[in-house]
Amino acid sequence: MTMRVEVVERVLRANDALAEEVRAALDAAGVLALNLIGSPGSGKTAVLERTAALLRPRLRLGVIEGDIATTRDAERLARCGVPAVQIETRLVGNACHLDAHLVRTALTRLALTDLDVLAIENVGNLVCPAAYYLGEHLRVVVASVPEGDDKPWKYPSTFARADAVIVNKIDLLPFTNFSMETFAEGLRQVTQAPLFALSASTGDGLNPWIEWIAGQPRGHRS
Amino acid sequence: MHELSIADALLNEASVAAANHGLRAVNRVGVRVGRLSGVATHALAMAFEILREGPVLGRAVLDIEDADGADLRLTWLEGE
Repeated sequence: MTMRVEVVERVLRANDALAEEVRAALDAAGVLALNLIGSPGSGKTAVLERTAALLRPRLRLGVIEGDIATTRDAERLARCGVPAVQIETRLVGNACHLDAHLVRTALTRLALTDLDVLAIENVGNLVCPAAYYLGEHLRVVVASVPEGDDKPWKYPSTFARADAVIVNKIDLLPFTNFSMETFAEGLRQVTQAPLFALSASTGDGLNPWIEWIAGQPRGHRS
Repeated sequence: MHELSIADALLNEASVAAANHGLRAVNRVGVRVGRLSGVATHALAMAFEILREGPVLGRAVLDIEDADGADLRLTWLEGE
């Protein structure tokens, strides 16, 4: 006989359980974790290079890099003296996003006690990473001027869940028709998260972003 | 593209729920997909059809309920 049973279980329950393990490890070590989501080429790695230099010596940044292939980004950050671990998703089915299992594995290769802030740079993609909680405290979406000012309108699910939004490459504003007002208007339709307009290339506008990170509470370490 | 991963997770949860409720064959799987969940429903439906297999879930049909917010949940199973 056919019967219907009510279930109501999160589809990503298994991922979320692993993410809670990641979160507990971060909190025990007093590390603030950021999940950076943005299109390929939006400048996520460049923002992290600048951020690491400006947080020093107040706060020590470590990075988990997610890419489909190559260890280029982890090498870029290592050259800046930043502890960095690369996840290559080509080794696990070319995943277009990081999941909590990948992050938990990567964490075992970082000395959390030597860090204050952990940036998890997701695979370049403005859609897929948004569905996966990694154990992060805060989610940061990185957009950039050449991508256009319509991105919050086009990808509302990604921007709606951001705790902060960066618009990178403001040094290119004179060469494009990008309107910061249009971008901000689209953003405000879905979130009140702070907006940081900056250039990782020239260093303009970095300070409010750095102070925002420095002002966040970090775990339970005494 | 991540809908394959989502469908895989959904089938795992459905398999656990079917066992918990003593269902030997599931005909329909109800899932709630929030508009802000970042999941494309047509891609999820296609991925579900590709990945479903075995005596319990091999013939299951996906029943997608659109919802507000970021919810992404297995909501019900129908079977025998």
